[in-house]
Amino acid sequence: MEHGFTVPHGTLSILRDIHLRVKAGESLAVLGPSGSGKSTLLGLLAGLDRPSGGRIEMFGTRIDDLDEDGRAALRAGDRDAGGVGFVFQSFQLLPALTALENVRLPLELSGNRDADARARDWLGRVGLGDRLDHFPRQLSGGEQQRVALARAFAGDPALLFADEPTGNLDRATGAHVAELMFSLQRERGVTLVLVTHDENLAAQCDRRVRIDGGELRESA
Amino acid sequence: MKQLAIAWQLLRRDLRAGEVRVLVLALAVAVAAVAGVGFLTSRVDAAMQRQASELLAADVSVEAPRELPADWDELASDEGLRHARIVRFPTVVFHDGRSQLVQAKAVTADYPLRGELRHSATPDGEEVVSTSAPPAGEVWVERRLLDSLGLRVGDSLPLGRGELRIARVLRYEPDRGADMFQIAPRVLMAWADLDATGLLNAYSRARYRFLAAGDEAGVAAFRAVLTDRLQAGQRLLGIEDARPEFRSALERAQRFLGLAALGAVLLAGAAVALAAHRYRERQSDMAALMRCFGSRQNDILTLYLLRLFGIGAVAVLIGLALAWLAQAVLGEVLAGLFATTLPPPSWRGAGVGALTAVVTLAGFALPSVLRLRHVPPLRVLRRDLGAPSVSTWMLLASAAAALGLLVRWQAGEWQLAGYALLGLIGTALGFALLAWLLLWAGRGLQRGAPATGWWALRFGLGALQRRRGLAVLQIGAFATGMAVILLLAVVRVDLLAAWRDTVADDAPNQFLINVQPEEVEPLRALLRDAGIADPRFYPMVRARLTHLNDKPIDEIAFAEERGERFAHRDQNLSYAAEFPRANRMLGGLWWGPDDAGHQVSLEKRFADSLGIGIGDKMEFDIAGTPLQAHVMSLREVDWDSFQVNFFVLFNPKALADQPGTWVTSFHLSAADHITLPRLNREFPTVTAIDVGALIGQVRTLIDRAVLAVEGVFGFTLIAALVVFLAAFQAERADRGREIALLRSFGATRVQVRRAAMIEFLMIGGLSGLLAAAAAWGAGWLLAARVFNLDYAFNAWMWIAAPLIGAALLSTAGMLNVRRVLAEPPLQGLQAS
Repeated sequence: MEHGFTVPHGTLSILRDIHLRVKAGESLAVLGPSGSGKSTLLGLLAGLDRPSGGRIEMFGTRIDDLDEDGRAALRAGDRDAGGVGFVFQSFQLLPALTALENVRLPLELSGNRDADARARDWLGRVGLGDRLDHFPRQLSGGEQQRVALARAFAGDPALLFADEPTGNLDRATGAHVAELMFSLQRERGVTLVLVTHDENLAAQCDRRVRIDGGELRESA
Repeated sequence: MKQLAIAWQLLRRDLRAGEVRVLVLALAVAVAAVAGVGFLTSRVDAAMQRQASELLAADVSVEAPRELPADWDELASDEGLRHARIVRFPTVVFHDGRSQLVQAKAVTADYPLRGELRHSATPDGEEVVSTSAPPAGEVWVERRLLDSLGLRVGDSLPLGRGELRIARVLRYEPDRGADMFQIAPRVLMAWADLDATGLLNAYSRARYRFLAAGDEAGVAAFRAVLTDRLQAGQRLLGIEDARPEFRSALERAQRFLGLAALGAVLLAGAAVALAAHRYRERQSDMAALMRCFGSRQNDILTLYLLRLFGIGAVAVLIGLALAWLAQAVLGEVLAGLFATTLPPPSWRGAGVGALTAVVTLAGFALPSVLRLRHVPPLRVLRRDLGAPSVSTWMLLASAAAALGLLVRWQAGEWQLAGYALLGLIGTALGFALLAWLLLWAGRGLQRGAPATGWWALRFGLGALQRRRGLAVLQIGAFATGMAVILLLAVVRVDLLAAWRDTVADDAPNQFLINVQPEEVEPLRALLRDAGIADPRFYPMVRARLTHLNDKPIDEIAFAEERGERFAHRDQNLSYAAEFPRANRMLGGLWWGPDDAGHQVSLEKRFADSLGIGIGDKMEFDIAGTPLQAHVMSLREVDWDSFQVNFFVLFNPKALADQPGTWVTSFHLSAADHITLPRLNREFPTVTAIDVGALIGQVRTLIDRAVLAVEGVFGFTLIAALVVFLAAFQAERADRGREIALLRSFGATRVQVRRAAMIEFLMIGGLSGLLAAAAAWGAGWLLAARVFNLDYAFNAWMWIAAPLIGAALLSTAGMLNVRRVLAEPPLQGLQAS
């Protein structure tokens, strides 16, 4: 797979000749310095954008030739049909929704009948059972990321994409959130693709790859 | 200079940004509304100015309801002045089974003494200028008469007992000011033909004028001579007296339209404030960088002020172009209202528009932009640090000050300005409050929406709650814009229909005036012949009011302008032994057969306007004879009955001996094409007024005037649409992030579109609903309190307004959402 942009005097290449296979249940860390293209890679793998060339398969389906809605449908499914969860560096909670509403939103979107109960349950699991009606601005950074984790796992995804999940948190809080994420990932048998520049965090994954100058290589 | 170059370069970039485009659009709408009104009123004003000097067609003139003394010709000649005579009177012309009320004007050969007549050989032919009147045997008529009766130049025009040849199409006469808003077309004829037509007699409802012109000394001397000879009812007019009431009507119209345009400015201001807020947010990075690079606060301020000035200049240019277009269209609509062509607009309107832009920018945009100089340089490291935001109070105060300035300027006085400002702000706040209440009440709807399967509905309704502040602004603004249009377009028509329902089908539709005493019985016979069962005739005596409670009316300061008008115009007095039909006694006593005294009964509103009541004393002048009477009773008159009615009714013993004419009214079926021509032939001095046709013509005039006001209110609606776009623009980044996030959760485009559609449909629908409610409420108030009518519930408006609102806003909203949806979700997520 490759990815780039057309600029006035040619093409700007972001990712070149990427070959990557992630096995079900595996946790993979994508390491690399800032601007190396790791977040772009994550977006492409999750189907949030289309590569300029090559092919990407998710759950055995080619997603690079699917249209936007086709890719969205793959992300929206539950474990049996695939299903994708996300954890972002900047949490990406909707500020006007409470913690409960934020977790409930993707469940309602996919037509889940017990969205409310499930969202409450998951917020309880991440230790926020007493903060259901709090808005993001009333929560600390660590708490916001725990809401994001609850939101990601509540949909029972087969695949979780995490983009610098501890990047906006202090060391202790980051460690706590990471521990929670890995324990849930193992417990649920979810495949994890984690993008980070934090070697310690990456070390907790089954496998690491490094991206530099738009190229990918396996890391020890 | 360096700043200017940078500002110029950045301005070009600015103009590509969404929020700046919205700002330009909002400002352009404000400029267009105000300058459009300025352009239009300057045209009418110029038309009046042009006519002022010619308005009398003379240097000095005397007007009277009766013919002026014959020896005045000699008096004027003695002072070395040229002189002429005019008489104007209404009459009806018949041709080919059709009738038309006309305003006839007979003039002597030297008319006009000042100014010129313009006429043409055919309605569209070349205009010829002349300074002399039509010769005997000829009439010059306005095109409207030719059109309405199917006549052509060269045809004979039956006038009373005679027939005159239509020789020219009259295009312009100098002393038209009096009849500038006129209903009946003009027929200009020679004074010499008056006798042959037999149209006038001593009792005719005519206005006579004696005109004189010449050198200043002669005019002054003649004025002095006339002043001593003037009798009651004769009025000396100089150029300075030329139609002051018309001028004040124009000034009032100018103020009203100017203030109406400020409705658009208020809404546009809200859009400007929103766009400026977003501009400040977006420019914070740049300001921080410049501070980092060593720019001083004042450098940044200068740079942004220059850019703001540039943005304003672009908006003014676009606004003025729009205004020019608007005044051309409105001028065309109004053209039929004026008997003269309108001159081109003055550039003052452009100045007014530009000044409006400056004040609006200063009041609504400047507070936000000024804060940019306070952006801390540290923002380059910490993105959460922006320019300190402007306090809401500060923004409101600045906006209110700007608006107050504009209102004061348009109103021309403080009191009216105060009321107008309160009205504008009150309306806006009222709508906003109602919108907030509706949204608050709508929370239940969102909660009640099923959680599964109806996600779009739930999320779309939820968006209204999440963005409640902006939604309130959008709904409030759009409801205001729609309500004013509905009030004019729907409620006005409803009120007219309600009034029409109150008029009986067989209510009189023809009035005969100017019936001489000896004609009453033959005319009664003619009407009976025509199948009119019991034609009632009422006496009418022309008089002037001279004293109230022994005080000359010229020395009385009337509280109401209406009172002033009533006091100084010719009075139509009548008398009756029996209490009249379609009247209700409000107080006092009706006279009995034994009452010998000079007593009058007054219509209540007439009495109120003059500030008099039961027991007060009135004195009239009837053809030089004074007549005193005491007010004995007050009546309420049902004018909608279309019966002949009078403000002033005398005890018959007091008035029966005075010279007068008679009037009658009756219902004539539309199929009867015989009676009126016969009446005209046998009684040429009797004037028949077709009330139905007259109402139709007045309605046409009002419709056109209303169309012009609607044009101005159209800008309010456009400004409301811009507020919607500005609000959308203000939260575009949040919406982009929200949509990207939803897409990352797997929401399809259709789901996102549906949710947005529901949000916009609700905003538009609620706006329409509020607008319909407000327009209906205003209509009901007017009907119940002002017009005493039953105001019917107009279901059509309640259905159509929300539908139109929903259609307009969902279209505008979805066009914008489409652009956000076109971006890959990754872009939306990374942007945050």
